[in-house]
Amino acid sequence: MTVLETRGDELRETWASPPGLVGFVSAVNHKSIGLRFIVTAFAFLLIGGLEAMLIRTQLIRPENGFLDAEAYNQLFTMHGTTMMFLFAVPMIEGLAMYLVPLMIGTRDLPFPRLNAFGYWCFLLGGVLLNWSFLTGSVPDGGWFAYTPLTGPEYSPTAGIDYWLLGVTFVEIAGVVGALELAVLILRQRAPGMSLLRMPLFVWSILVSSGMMLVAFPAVITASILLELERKLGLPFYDPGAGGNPLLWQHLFWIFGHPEVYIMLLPATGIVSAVVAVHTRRPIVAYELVAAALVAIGIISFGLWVHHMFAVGIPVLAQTLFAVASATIAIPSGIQVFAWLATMLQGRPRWSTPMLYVVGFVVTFVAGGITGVMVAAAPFDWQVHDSFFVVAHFHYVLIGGVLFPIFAGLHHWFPKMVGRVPNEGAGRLSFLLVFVGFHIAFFPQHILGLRGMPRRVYTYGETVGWDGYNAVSTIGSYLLGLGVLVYAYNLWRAWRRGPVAPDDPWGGDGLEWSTASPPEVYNFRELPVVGGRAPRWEPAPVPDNRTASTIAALAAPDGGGRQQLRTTMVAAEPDDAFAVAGPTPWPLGTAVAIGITLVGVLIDHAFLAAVGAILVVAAALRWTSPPGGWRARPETWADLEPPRSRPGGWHGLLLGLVAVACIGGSFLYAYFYLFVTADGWPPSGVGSPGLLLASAAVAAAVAGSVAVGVAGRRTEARTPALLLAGVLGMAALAADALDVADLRFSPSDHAYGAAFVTLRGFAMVVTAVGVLVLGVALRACLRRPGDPWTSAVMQITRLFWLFVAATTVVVWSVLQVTPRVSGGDGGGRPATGSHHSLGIGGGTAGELPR
Amino acid sequence: MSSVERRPWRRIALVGGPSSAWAAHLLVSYLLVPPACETTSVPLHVTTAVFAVAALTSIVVGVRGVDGDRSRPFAAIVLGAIFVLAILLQGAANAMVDPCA
Ligand code: HEM
Ligand SMILES: [Cu+2]
Repeated sequence: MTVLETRGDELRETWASPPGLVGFVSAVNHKSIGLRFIVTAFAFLLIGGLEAMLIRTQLIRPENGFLDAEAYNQLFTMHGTTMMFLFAVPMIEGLAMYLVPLMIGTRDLPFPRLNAFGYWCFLLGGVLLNWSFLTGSVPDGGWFAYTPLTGPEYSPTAGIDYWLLGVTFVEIAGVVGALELAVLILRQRAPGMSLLRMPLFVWSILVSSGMMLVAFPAVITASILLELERKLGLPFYDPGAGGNPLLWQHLFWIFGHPEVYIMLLPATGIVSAVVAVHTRRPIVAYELVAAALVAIGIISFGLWVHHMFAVGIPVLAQTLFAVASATIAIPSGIQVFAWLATMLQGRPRWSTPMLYVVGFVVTFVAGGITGVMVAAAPFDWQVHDSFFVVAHFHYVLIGGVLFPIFAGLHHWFPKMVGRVPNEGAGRLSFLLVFVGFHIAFFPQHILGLRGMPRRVYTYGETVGWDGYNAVSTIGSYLLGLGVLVYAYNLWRAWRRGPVAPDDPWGGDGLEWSTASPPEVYNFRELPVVGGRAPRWEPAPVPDNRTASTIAALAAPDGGGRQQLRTTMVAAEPDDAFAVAGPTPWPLGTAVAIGITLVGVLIDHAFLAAVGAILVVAAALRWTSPPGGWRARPETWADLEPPRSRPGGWHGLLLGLVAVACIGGSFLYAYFYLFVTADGWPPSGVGSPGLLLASAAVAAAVAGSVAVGVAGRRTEARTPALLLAGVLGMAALAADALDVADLRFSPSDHAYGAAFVTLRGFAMVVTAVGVLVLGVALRACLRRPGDPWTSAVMQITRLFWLFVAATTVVVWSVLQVTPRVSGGDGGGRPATGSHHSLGIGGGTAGELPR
Repeated sequence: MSSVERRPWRRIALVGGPSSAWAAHLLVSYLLVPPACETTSVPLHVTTAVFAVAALTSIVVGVRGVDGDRSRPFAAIVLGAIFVLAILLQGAANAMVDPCA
């Protein structure tokens, strides 16, 4: 046996998951989890597709009795929800989780346990949503679940609760995955892979992860508020009690605007990867395309601006928004031209992935044109809420997201599975999908122009819509058949396709230098990068320091699952660190959250409380050092002391960004209602008490100071942490006393509801801070001199800064606003937002249906 | 270590400046629409000019920060140019649409 082979064996042992069921529930490796995301999301694509077939079957002829109105509402709601929440984003995250570590030359994600947790949240959330089919109360409020339709009055059954809880669960998974991917990309690139040498797919994932971190919290908040209204009667959306149903639309679209680009950007990243490999040329104007990706991400944020106003929006202000949307055409156009130029310069190989890419470009450009038509306000007036809109957004979503995903799955399948899918079957699937798609959705434009509304379960014989509908349905069947052919092709290849070579396409990226499928540890010797297409260029010679680090990391020597961390911009080696191995606690935590949610769902307070306690227990169990308490960090590959923060610190920072966005959305809700309600606080309520609330804030801030001392002075660490714990609990006690003694009930008026929610948010943050102190204390006592412990201390300090900031902000808002408003509020009128369309631009607005 | 790495704030200006200028321009323009209807649109146009200049300045400052090799921050220059263009397009909308409509 050669030295290299021994090392391979040693690495394999270090990185392998245990066999059998135990291994299945405790696996954390990015490839296992990534594949699970992909397979599960594909299953949801098939479910959502089946729902679409049922919808189209109902519409095949006038006055059809196949589905009744109620079933129709449920099916389009579940179809839209499944496709948007359970298929598109998880599929993209799964591909990224699997591929990005390979593309940037590292062994695993920075927080593998968190990643596994995300998967279980996604799976349980998806199951919860679909469980509603078994109970008979299926969500039926549309995929954007507008209030008041989804409020307790109009939707008394549990359907909407399934929607809210399931979607929240899935969005938690989305946030967790985004955080993981962002830290991965920023801190674990191969030495030499500076930002401007990253593959474009990695760029797109970086931008889209950043967007998820700030966009998903808004919908999580909106759902929490609605669930509080439905279960506890807190009237956030109830205009009779100071609430406002339009608040839902504002919060939902703060998420919904970027959501489209969150899916589209990675799709274009896939396209760039496929085009480069299948034309055998690097993408022309790489830097332009990278700049375009970032520009699209930022501009789609800017579209939020128009949600910052609760008052009527004048035409000019609307135009500014429309101009901002249209500006996205510039960077989008840059990308399209870069792909076309690359194809013209190279020698395209018309493989299945390339065909799907061409289908994408054609369809996406057409969708863009109809999008401009929809965005033009007067035109929108006629097509608004018609089938024209349905056609438009399917051009964007199927052409712009599904086609690229199909291209990417086929392209990377040999790498991920080690088998080659059949090209003939792949091309046949493309033919069916592409032709079927256009037959299905082109006629819907005409139907829309002829006045057929969306979301109606049938139509009369005399209106002249029957021919187009029949054609559309037949096209849908072709499209569905194409999807089945595609799926069958992959499934058969998985079973008994020809064995794939390591690099079947002659690819440019690092992923193609691993085995097919890759070894559990990906790279025996971590690669060093000197350009944008490492496989098409001579490998650079690493400097001594890098070379010796790589050699050390090739031999684990009992140091656990070691990885290399590099600097953020230039990707110079920074430090080595070990990540966690297999553990079932992420699953345990997700199940505990599931128990809590089910408790809420069936109105069982006891079950919910038990679940909440289990969540805390499982999460604490999970926070052991990577490799367990017995690992020996002194054997980690030796590098100079790191120049930058530990990865966990960056992870927490991004996590706090997401939590701050949840808190920010609560604040947004508070101010929105403050502006639109008559009387804030309502007459007779008066300003909130000052004494206990201020004492609580003072205690929290003092706790934060104590944590700061603990971080700076090692000898005072234990007492300072204990002191901080006492202060934190004192803050919680003062808060609890104060809230228990309120002069108003949170269910009487939106003021009380918003007040209690904000206070509750600050209390939850403080309580988690106390738990974090417990973890830090345990680390300091059991492993005083460890790098892990010093990382935990840095993390604790960061968290307590956040605790202090949160309590201070909440306190100021709650104390100041009632005093300045003089007790009778602004009482300004609210108008509709422009978003009854569902997807895309547009301006007119009233509530749907 | 490259010169970019030693001057982080210049890089931040280069990447963050034009985009922030664009976002600020959007926000301020929104806020100025109602007063523009009541009195005059001049503040709107001044806003556009100010933020376009600010965006251009941050590009120039940022590029100067990368001594020697001027071609390197090409991607960032393109990014900045996209935002300058976006600001000017919004300025055109301000000039063409009646603020009272
Ligand atoms: C597989 C082929 C598909 C077919 C035949 C199809 C068909 C339909 C139809 C007929 C409707 C409108 C029902 C109505 O308003 O009366 C609809 C709605 C919708 N579809 Fe699809 N669809 C397909 C794939 C997708 C995909 C891939 C996505 C997203 C990635 C998607 C997202 C949506 C959304 C968001 C709605 C709106 C649901 C609502 O009104 O609440 N669809 N689809
Ligand atoms: Cu909007």
